[in-house]
Amino acid sequence: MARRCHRIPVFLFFSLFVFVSVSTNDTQVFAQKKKPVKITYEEHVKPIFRQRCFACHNGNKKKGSLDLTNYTNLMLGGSSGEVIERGSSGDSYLYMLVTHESEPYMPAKAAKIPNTELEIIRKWIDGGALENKGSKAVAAKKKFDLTLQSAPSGRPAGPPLMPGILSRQPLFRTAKTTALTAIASSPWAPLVAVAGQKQIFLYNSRTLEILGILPFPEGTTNVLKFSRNGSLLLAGGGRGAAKGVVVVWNIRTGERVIEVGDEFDTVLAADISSDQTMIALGGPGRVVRIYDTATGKLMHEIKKHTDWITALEFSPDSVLLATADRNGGMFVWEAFTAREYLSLKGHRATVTDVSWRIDSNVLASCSEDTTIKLWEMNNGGQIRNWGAHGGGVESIEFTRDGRIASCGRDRVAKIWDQNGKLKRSFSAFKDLALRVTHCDESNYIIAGDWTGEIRVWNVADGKQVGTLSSNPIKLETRLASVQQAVAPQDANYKKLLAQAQQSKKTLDQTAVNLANAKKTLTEAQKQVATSADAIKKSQQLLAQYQKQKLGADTIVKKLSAFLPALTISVAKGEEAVKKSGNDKTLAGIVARLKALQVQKQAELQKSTKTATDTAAVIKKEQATLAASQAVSKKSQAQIKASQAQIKALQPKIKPMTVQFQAMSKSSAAAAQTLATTKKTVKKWQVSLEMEKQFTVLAGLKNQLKESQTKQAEFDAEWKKQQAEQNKFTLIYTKANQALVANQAKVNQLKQTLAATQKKHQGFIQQTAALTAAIPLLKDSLKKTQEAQKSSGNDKEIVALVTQLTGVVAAKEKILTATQQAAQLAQKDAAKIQQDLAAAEKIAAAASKTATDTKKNADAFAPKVIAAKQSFDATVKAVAEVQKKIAATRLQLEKMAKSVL
Amino acid sequence: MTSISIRTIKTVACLFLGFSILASGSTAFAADSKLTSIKVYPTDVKLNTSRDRQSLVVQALYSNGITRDVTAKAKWAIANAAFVRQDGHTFYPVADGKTEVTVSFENQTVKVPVEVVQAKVDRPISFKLDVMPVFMKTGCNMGSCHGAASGKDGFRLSLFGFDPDGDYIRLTRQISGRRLNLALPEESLLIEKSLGKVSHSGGKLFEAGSEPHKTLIRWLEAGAPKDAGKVPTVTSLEIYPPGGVLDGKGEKQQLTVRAKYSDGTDRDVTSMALFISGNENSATVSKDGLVEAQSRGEAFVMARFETHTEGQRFIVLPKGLQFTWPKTPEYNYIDTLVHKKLQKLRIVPSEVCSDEEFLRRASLDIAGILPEKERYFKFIESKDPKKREKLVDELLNRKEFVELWVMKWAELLQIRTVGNRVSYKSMLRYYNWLQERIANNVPMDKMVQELLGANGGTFTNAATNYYQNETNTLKTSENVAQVFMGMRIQCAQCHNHPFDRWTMDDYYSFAAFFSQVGRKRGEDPRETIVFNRGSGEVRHLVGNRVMQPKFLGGAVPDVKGKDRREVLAKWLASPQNPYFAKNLANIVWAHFLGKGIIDQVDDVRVSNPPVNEELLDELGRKFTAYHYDFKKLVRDICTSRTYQLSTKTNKSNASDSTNFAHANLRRIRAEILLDAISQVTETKNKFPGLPLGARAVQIANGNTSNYFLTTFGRAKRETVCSCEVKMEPNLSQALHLLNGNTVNSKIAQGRLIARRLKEKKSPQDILDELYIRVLSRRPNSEELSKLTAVLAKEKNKQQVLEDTFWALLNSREFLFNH
Repeated sequence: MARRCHRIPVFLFFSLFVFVSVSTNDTQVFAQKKKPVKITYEEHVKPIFRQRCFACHNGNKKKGSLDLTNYTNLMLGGSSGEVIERGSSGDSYLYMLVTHESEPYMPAKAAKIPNTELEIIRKWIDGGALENKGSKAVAAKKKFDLTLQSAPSGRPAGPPLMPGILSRQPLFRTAKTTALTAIASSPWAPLVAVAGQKQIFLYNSRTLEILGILPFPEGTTNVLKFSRNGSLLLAGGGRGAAKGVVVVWNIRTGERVIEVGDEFDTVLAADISSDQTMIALGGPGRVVRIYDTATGKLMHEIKKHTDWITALEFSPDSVLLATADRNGGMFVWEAFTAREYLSLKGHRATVTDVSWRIDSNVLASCSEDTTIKLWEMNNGGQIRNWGAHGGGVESIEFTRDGRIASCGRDRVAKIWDQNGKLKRSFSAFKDLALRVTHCDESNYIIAGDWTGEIRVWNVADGKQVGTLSSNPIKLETRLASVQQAVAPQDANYKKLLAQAQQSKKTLDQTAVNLANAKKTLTEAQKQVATSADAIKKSQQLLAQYQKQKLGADTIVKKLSAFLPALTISVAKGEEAVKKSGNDKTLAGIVARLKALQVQKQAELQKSTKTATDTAAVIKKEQATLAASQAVSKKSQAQIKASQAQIKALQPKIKPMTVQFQAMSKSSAAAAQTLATTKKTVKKWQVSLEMEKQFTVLAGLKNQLKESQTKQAEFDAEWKKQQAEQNKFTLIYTKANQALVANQAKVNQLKQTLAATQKKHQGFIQQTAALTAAIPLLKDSLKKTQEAQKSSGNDKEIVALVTQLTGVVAAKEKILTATQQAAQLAQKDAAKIQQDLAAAEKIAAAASKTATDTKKNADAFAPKVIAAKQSFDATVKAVAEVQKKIAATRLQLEKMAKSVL
Repeated sequence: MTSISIRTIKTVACLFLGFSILASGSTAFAADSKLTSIKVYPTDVKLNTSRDRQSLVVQALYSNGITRDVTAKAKWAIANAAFVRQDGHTFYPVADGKTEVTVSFENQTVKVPVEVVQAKVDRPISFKLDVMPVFMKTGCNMGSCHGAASGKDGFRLSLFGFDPDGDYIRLTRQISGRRLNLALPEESLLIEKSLGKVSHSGGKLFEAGSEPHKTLIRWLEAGAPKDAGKVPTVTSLEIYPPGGVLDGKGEKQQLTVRAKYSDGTDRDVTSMALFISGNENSATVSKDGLVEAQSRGEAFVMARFETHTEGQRFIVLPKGLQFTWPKTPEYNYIDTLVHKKLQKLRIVPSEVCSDEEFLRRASLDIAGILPEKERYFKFIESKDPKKREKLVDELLNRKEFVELWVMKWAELLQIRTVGNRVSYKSMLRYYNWLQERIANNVPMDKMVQELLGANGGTFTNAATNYYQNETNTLKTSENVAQVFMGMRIQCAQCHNHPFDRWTMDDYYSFAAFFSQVGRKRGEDPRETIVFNRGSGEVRHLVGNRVMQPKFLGGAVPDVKGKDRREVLAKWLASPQNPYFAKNLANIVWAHFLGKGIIDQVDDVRVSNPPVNEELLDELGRKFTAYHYDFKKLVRDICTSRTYQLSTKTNKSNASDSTNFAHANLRRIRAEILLDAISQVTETKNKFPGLPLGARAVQIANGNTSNYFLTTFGRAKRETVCSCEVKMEPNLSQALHLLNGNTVNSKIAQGRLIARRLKEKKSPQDILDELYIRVLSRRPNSEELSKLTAVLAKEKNKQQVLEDTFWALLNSREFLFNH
């Protein structure tokens, strides 16, 4: 097993990547510089080869033993020898074939490469077939170090890692959705990433609210993976049969931090190790490549798979790497060495997905052969195997707690325990269910199908919680739709409010009516009682009156019966008296009679009156009674009516109250909704405003990049100018030194010359003297010899002659030597003169050089200063842009806070 | 197939309407070309739904037989433009209704009725109707591309689209998210690869904005739907114009192709059809259907769409060819039809061969023997103007004629022993059965019906051996199709036939006739009893459906409670089967002329049409009328002038090898050659199971052979293929004749020269006899003078004569029938 690799933490540097239009920016930069564009393999030619040639001339296929995918192999050539002749496109075999000057025409079985691209190739070859931009490429070298001290297995400290402020504006929206290609959930946060078209959407898995958009202009995302600590999101994909890459984002900032991979078909499977030191990827190229995240360099290539790589995943402890292919082949490798550890044999069709249990001891795999298999990692034994989805399993995921989520061609997403027991299956999609993820934070299953529909279910109860979109609507549309909702919601609220008020009114009225009725009832009851008393009294009175009247009537009747006779008797009596003349007795009798009669008359009168009076009283009393009775009757009716009313009103009160309460509640709810909607409106408005800021930010970032590029350029320029200046200074110094040295030499030479000339002169003089002396000596000798002869060989003369002869010979010898010496001296002098001239010339040249370079060096000084100034300006510009960026970010944060 | 032939006859009729006058009267073709008529194709236009369209072509016919494409030059007028719209020579619907298009060229005018229905209805895009043709047209589903059994670069389509449902699944659901992108259709891998935007091993297949591109995009935009319900199928394919006579290299003719569907609609599929020229040397055809004349000759230009292939003949003449048809006698209907074709091609047939040549040729062809000396003299000296016919009759009545044809049939019926299946006894009984049938002149239909419907023991009813030679149901049906109908349907076992009309449905439906053959052991362990099991079905490879028996290219018969083979045999060997009589006639023809009217004889397919369809039809008709008595057919052929033509060519027919304008040199086949050598050397052969002196032609067993026969390509009868008999001369044959033991030892063994010398025959006489024996002619003066000179010089006359004998037997004149 591999050991954990500790890396020296290098300066953490988040790339300032924005997105694609890099090349255009470059061109602009070039244009501004007005320098000839340096065409290089990496930047200009490789993209052409990628599109036109890589399918056949790649590291695996090598048609004609030619591999164009990297510069070294390209320059090595193919089976027909070298294909690029540096500096001469006309002699380059490759160029001849692509321009159809020579057969076999390339690309085979395809249209000729467009002239614009041919022109690039020509310029590239003619320009020396450079590999890359040289200094620039070095300057742009990225360094990332995301290395963690240990592979995390538990919950990271701090709050859940959720995205910071990200743009929520989809780059574009398509008319239709297509098959969902990738989905992933964060292991430690309620966060889901969904692959869209050239973009990735982040959603809150609890609220299902969109949190941000990550652009992926490279093409289709075929794989999404969160790093094990949830801080990074990895996406693998690209453009089919053209380019495959892996991109890693920092979840918090939304910045791209890593870009690796240079596949010539899309990436189908990829993962980042939990210690974040390695990224593995694979695809239709059948090769698994492992990159170092710190340097972006390729560490290993695994070429064991015989078919497309369809799935791979690092074990959570970063020790192992599981990879699988379209042919059912599956291997486990030591992650750091890429040595084969296990070969897992069992699947009979495409392995569609692999997933590790969090303890790294069990690997789950699923396949088009309909099964899910679990493997132990000691011997690679298959520990569980069950048929999971008819037609084939498309995706699986081990949950944090060791369950397995899966989906497949039977259109259903399911969750299993580790023994393969089905725990729950969820409502079927309309088409093949392709990708599934389980959000450990919310215990939600999220799966998507061939039509692009994504559903979210709660595993706890199996109920669908909602849906997510791989093609969300634009913010403007969102805003418009919520804005549209405001008015009807407002109206609704008002309506509900009015209804509630109305209901209240009705309720109140009813309550009043009820109270009134109750009051009326009480009063009527009272009335009835009062009336009953009155009736009773009246009846008593009436009885009394009638008795009275009956008495009076009896008296009247009695009196009336004898009074007339009495009256007559009186009258007769009086007459009688009269007649009798006032018989006293009689008169007395009559008077008594009369008195009786009067008395009786009065009595009658009184009784009559009493009777009449009593009759009147009776009548009155009868009226009173009748009135009382009427009142009583009416009151009783009133009682009945009131009771009925009460009976009717009483039960209404409760429902009315309920209704009113409900209405006030719903109106409150409507108010709440309205408020929320208004808040949402505000949110989207702010979001839209934020989009502007994001645009500004993007612009600023571009600007920053440009400024930084410029800064680097000016820096280089400054350094270059300095170097130039230094060069001249150096030359000047050297020339000066040469001048001084040469002048010394000249003086020395002059002296030597003078000495030599003097010596020469000496020799000449000596020669002349000798030349003059020798004939004389010779004459002398001759004469002496003659003398000798004539002397007859005088002994002394003979001795003299001998002496003289010796002298002459000696002198002649000296003469020859002197002459030679003179010649030598002359030669020396000439040579010295030559040297002198040369030295003088050098001195003059050096002097001139010194003067000139001094001038040049002096001339450079302002340039250096200017360059320095330019550089300083760019530094300032960079700082300014950075400041602006910071400000914009702050602004964004503020805005985001305002709607939180 | 009947429809084709009828149509072609019509074609020919109208094509040559122009010079029918000339043909009947003087046979000179006027050099000046006068326009006789114009034809507009198709002759009616039916536009159904808004996207429909129909392109028209106008062909001008000239008095000298030449045709020209005058589509661009013609004047066009629409009677009521409210209904149709014209763009170029294509018509598009505007509103429902009927109108007509008037086409005029020079003084000729043709009216084409146009009917528009459902002009406002847009037919929804269909995978089978619209998308599948793209794969065919652009070659995606070819065997060398995604049609390969294991696909190409990870993606497979069914070969030539035999499994559209499977293709739909593979394309849309196999690797979801890769090949199609319904959100961004233009970025689908399918599109990007086809347009060459990304690397594609198959290269760029079509242009952006082209019809295939638009079709695929439209399908993707609609959500890549699968066809709902039943989709109409193509019932027939029409390709226009019906042929042409192109005047010189570079002359062009646009084709238009119309498919008729089972729902009664039709579509202009010119842009979606795949065009193939049968002879690129004479005429090429572009992928848009533009025929371009190349060098002189004839090309069958085909259009393939869905499972249908149809073609038309284009004759290419040298530009401005001056041609006069000489008055040529016609001995019978064969000559009439052959000459008719030759006139079209401006080819003059060769002269009639000499009596000597005819005698040798007929003897070898009809009886497989060389003429004896007496017969030679009798024939040559005869002054009877009908002596050739008489010779034919005489030869036909010889037993050798029967033996020769028994051998031919034994090859087709694969008469041979097969270990554990066909014992020697069975084989011999089978052979005897065949011999009896042929000797008794049993009509071919009777014989075939007896054979195919045979039940019983392989000893008691020897015909049942047919089902012992091949016990595999599918193979049996393939053999039946190949032998009796001349068709190789093997391809259709795994995919629709790429160059013919046969689909997998046809294949398995035909095989269903043989699914109920029962076999059980007889009393004798060597005997097998073949019987009708009355049960057993054939299932389709795709979908595993049970297939109902259906005649190949015919009806679905009622087989309930019947022996399926009897039902088949009754149809197969009857006039209801359009192929049977023609196929047998073609086999006979090929025997005598060295090349079939359809060549190879067992390779009948739409894309390999007969070189002279009328002739083949007529031969088939005659054969049927003769109640399948092929002796009569042989007589017709051998008495025709065409059969009697010399091998010497003239200027016009030298380059032609297909239209029977001259006789072809044919190497004599192995058995006959051995018999001939034995005959002329007067030696005897011994073959296993046959008495000494029996002829090689009489060998019953396909497994019996000797070195000579094997070298000269005797059929092993392991397959029914006509290619089993090797007729090509090769080096080992030549070496064997020169140095092998056959010729030399037979000359020595026969002692012919010695005997003649003993008989005191003069060397000249012996030379004469040798020439007549071997070459059926007397030596010419040059040969004579040279040989006489040698003979005069050499003392050992026998040696010289034997060397001459050897030389003659090694001469090409002997080895070839000429």
